[in-house]
Amino acid sequence: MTLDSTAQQNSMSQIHLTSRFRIKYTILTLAFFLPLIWSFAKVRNVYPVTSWNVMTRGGEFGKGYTYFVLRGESVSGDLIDLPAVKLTDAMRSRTWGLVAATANNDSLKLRSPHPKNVALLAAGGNVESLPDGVLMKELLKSWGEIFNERHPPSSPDHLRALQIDCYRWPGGQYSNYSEFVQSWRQEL
Amino acid sequence: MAPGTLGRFTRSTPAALGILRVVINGVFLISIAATSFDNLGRLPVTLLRPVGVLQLFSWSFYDRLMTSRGMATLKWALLLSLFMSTVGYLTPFSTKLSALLVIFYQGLLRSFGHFNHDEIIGIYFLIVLAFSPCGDAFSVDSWPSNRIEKRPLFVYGYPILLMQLLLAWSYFSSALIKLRVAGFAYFSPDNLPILAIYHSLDNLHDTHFRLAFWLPTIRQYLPFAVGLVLVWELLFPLAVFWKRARWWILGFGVVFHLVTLLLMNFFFAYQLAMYVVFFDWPAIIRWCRRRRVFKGLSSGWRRFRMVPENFPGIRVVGFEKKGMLLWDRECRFCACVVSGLKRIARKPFAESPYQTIVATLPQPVTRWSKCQAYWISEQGEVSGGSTALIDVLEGSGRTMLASFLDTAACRPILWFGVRFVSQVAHKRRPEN
Repeated sequence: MTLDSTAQQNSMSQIHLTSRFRIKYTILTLAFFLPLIWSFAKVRNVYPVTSWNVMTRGGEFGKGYTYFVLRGESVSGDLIDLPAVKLTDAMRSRTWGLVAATANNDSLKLRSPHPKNVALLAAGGNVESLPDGVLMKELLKSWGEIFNERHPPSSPDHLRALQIDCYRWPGGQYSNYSEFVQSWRQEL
Repeated sequence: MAPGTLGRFTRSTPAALGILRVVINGVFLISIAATSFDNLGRLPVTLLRPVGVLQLFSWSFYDRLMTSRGMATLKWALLLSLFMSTVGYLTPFSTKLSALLVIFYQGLLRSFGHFNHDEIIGIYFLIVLAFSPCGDAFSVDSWPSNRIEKRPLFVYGYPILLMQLLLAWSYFSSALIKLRVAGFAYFSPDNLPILAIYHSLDNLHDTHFRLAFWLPTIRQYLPFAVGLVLVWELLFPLAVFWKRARWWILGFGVVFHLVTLLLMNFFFAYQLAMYVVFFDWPAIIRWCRRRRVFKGLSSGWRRFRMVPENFPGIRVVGFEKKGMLLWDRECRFCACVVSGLKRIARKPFAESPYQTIVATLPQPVTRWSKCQAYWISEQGEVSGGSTALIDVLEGSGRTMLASFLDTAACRPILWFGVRFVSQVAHKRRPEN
């Protein structure tokens, strides 16, 4: 084989390689941007296709806002604020979404709920007839167990109960942030 | 090479893409290593609301997953896969597996909580890396350098451009959606204070800063701040195409996300980490190479790698045997290896110290003969080091073992092992 024919063969293989990657990258680009544009147009998230609709609506002054505070009651009777992010660190700030969804019974409103939730719904009639946060105690129990594992019974921080307090900021003024709504409590 | 304007933006080096693979996979690796999956597994499965593609899995699958063992399996699979893709081992496979596992894991978190956007860009980057030749540099796969196919620079540059465009899209589309959904109401003086206060009232966020409660006192200025952020988001794509504006835009981004943390108590840590796709990595590598520490490390590694295992175009002439192993008779370790190879051989092979035929060997081969053993094929082709070892095994009838060692999984490790051992053996010689 002469040097010329080797060079020609190399250049042919480079052209072939370039066109192969061009096709591959065109498909990759379309595979990203077509769903992203659809998601943008519909303002809809279908994981992992994302519409960047974070903080889209902004705050409305006259609207009320509900929020939750996680508290634990120690063996000495003190009520302490517990940062839930430290209990299930994987959740990060998604924890507030978890608590809000639990309070709202969102996992019972699925088209195909978990079999245990189906049984709960069957016993209770329908989701509207169930009290708010019907599964909140299960969440509190698992968080309480995680916390108490780190603080054995001999520790003053060991908890005897865990509770989520729901508050409402009625809006319309920059005060009166803590209008109590309801509480869920789980003895440990 | 891509033509025209696109070509200008897509020229990059294998090293630039390789470093991005290390950083992006490394960010996920470190964060997952530091996360308690056991605690996550204790959340009641009844609270799960599978999102998007996660609806494809059955409840019985989630029942098994949300256990201590299920979560430990997921964590170890993630750690192993991300470690492999970070170090660049079996990159085409490990990067795809990492992308899939991270998509699943992040989807699981969103199935408990809500659809937040922080890690999403990182997930997209993992997908881009999974379909690009990001293992051609800064990777275990690239250790035996002769195994990396030469590719045009466009192949390395386009994935970087795509990642930059995706990051720019996240900000740009966010601004457009705000304008579409809220319109001019978004510039209301109460917009920011209300949002910030709402996210500061509970104790379920990342942090518990109370700075938001100060915002109502300066509410008349806040529409300008909100407008500035919106303009910055709309201008973000300039960071891709205009290098001079890039650092101002990225700098504003860092400030914006830090202020978000102080005011709203959530931090877009992954989004910020992904700004690395805008760094000029070839320039950073050049700068590092000029520093004494990196210079020493880099030249040490270059010396370690420089011994060639293949000699294309070189033939040992006047050679009639059906392959022969050449080794250094002054190296006792080499003698031991040769006798070991003879013991396991299924059919005999010829061997000789290279000193006996040194006069017939071409100069490039003789140059490295103290650093590695050689295999000379029937046609007179020369291979050295780990390639020679595979060729010897094949020539001695151990074809299965030779094929196994020649797989993508074994090859880099075998190459490193052979180079390391030969270097140690070389240093221990009496004359050294």
